[in-house]
Amino acid sequence: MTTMAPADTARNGTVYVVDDEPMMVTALTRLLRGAGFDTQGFQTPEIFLQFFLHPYRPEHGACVVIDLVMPGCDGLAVQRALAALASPPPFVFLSGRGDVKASVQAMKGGALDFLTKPVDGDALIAAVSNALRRDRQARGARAERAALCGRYACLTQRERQVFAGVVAGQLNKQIALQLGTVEKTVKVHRARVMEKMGAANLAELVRMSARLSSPPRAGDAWTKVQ
Amino acid sequence: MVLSRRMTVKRPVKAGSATRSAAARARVTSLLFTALIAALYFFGARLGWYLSPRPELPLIWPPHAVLFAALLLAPLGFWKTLLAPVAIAHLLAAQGSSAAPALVAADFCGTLLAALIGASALRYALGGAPRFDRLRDTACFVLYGVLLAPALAALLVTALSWPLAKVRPDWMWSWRTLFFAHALALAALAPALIAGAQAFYAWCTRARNSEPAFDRRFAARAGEAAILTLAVAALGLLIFGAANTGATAMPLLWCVAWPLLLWVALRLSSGCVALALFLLTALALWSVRSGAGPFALGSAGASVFAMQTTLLALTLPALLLGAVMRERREAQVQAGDREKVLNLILHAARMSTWVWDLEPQKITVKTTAATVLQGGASTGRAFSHCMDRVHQDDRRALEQTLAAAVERGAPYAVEFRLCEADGGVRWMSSRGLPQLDARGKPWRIVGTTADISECKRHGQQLQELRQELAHLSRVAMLGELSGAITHELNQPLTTVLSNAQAAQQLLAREPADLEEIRAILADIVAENKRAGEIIRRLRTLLKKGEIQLQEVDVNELVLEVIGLEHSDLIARNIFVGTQLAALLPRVRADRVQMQQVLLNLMINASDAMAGNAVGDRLIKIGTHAEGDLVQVVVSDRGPGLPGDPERIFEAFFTTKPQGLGLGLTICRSIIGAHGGELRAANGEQGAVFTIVLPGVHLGETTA
Repeated sequence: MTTMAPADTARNGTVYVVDDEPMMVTALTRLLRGAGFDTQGFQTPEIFLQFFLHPYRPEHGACVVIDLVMPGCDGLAVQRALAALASPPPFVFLSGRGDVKASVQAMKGGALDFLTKPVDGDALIAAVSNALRRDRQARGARAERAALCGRYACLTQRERQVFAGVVAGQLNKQIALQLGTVEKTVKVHRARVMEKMGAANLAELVRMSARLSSPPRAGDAWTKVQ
Repeated sequence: MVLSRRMTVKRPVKAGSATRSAAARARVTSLLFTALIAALYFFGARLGWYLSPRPELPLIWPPHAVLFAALLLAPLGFWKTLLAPVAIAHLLAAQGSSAAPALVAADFCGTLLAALIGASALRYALGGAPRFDRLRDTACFVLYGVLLAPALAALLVTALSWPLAKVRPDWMWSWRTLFFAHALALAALAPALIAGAQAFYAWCTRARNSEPAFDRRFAARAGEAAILTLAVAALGLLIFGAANTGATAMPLLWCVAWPLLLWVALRLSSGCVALALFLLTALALWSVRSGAGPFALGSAGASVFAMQTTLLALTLPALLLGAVMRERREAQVQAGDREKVLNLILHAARMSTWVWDLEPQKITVKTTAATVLQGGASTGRAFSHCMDRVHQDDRRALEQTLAAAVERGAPYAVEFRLCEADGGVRWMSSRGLPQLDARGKPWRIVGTTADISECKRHGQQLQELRQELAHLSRVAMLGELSGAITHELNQPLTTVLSNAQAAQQLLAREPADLEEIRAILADIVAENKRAGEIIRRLRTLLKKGEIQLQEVDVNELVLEVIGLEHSDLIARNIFVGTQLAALLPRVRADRVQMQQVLLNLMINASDAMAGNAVGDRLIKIGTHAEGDLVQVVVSDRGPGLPGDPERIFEAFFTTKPQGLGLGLTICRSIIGAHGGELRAANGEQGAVFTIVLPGVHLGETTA
């Protein structure tokens, strides 16, 4: 093993290994544990889903390494089942054959990686580290947005109007004219908006507004971070 | 027969005039025929009375022969037409004779009765006029016509005329004179009349078909016939002539006629025999009438009787001999034809026939294809000499077969190789039929030997081609499965790699977890073996080789094939349900080919269910024993087989868009070669394929 995964940040999170072959599960679990990941192995997707969803801990870091083709329920089905979650875990697919159609489908569903068996340990570890990092980042981004939304909710109606005017690049005078008030009142509102939203300057406020107006799609978080 | 053909032929009606002319012609023909018969009858009767020394002692009675021939030649419906003219002719002929009216009537009755009885019996037995070149016809003629009918008629007439006669002669004498006169007339004249009519008809037919009436062979025969006729006439004169009469007479001189008659019977046609007999009879009659010749004995009765018996004793054997010779000649011609055909067949089949005399051990070979047994036809070759050329490996078996055949006297068939002088080897197939002597012991064997080298070579080529085809189809099938097989191999490879890398990680740590590393190594070994097993199975299937029959467990085969298809089945969402019988006889089979068949059936089942909903893709494989048979049933839930399920086995018949249509054909030939059967049918849902194989008995099981 030439590349040892960084021992710090990548480790916080659980890697779920799902494969119908018991020997495969054992081997992959051994490999990932050896690389320092907290790993759980499952032989059927059903048991994995049961374990993962009851109870569901969205705050907990997770990544799924799953066989694409399994009897009864394949990896793509598991991915679809988890897509509706508030914070769906990233998927790393393993496949015995280079099935283009399946891989495209997996990627569209937000698969992080698509590895062909026999999979190299380094590649798997790298993919899993990457997945966990992105999961963490996605969860961070989601937490940040949640905080932003909470702060925005604290604003009064008038403050929200002023907020909209400010980020639209209007002058205080223009806002006052629009709202039928005086410039001074607008200034007071504006200062309160800055304070409540926790923005240090106008640029930061504009960025917050952009993030609020376009809620991120599921699995999209990492793309933005990248 | 002659007239019947002519008068009963109904020509298609084309025009009124044609019909009229045909009818007119028929009427003219029948009129002519009637007139001819009446005339002949008249002259015959006249002759009969003329030749009789006394009216009540007829020498010969020709009218009987005339009427008899007429009745046989004319159709049945024409008989009553003949009656009146014949009666008139009889009366007219009686006018000039000194016979009493009662005798005339009795003669007519006798003639009519004898002719009717004889003609009816012959018609019943033969269906028409007899042909004197057929032994059966001639024998019937002699029996019914010459002997039975005159005897009966004479009996009746004697009985009838008994009360009428003024001077009552000896009853027996009366019957005898009547019988002999009628019988002699029939024996001497009727063949000549009938054969003459038949010859006339044949000549007419030939003339109508514008064939040459006489060919060269006929001319040669006619020359010989003429010479013989002259010889017979001369001899007749010698025998019955005036020189041979009185005290110097040699009564047995007529025996000299025999060799001549034999010559005629052997060389010439039956018509000539009839003619010769006619001639001899005529001369004898003339001699008796004129009181000369060897029969001129004391009393008229005695001389008549002597002449009659002598002539009957001459004519009847001669007639029969003529027929026998004729049939024999025809049989010879037919046998010659048959032999020619047989030779052609033997030649075409590259066969030879032989006769093996067992006592002095020698073989006589008759052959048409000289190449069959080197040296060609031979006579009396030593048996050991023939055996020397038999291939060493086959000699023992051949000798045993021959010995068994000789001992049991039963037919045998055997195949062996023959070494040629140039070192080549030819395959022979030999069949023999022992001939048994009176004690039931075989004294010789007749048989055939055929060169079947070509046949053998073709058979071998066919076998090779079949194996090649089976192999190619196997390769093609594995090509279809290649994705699944790759997956199947990747699985253990991945496990091995991951395990090895995990071990590397563990070793990099201090202290290394040796327990875990040991477990990892055990797993690596196990997975490596699994990969090896998969490769071994593939290699077996891809291998091109001779069929190796061994005892195999069908259940094991089924599980192996399911294992081989495992990944493909998963990828296609197909479930396999097995119901394997616990106590299943083993079967003698080639493992690879049986796997091929099962694999083929499973792939077909999978393909058939491609359109089914994901939950409804199920292949059921069941094995069970039925008596000595082992059955494997593979059923799917696809759309089933269209039309006649058996059509699926036809070559190039396929239901798949990319199918070649050979898979199942090959499967069936494989199962057939194993002595089993592959059947297709439509089940409740989908197709059902059943393999039936003969099981190996427990007793037969070899260790």
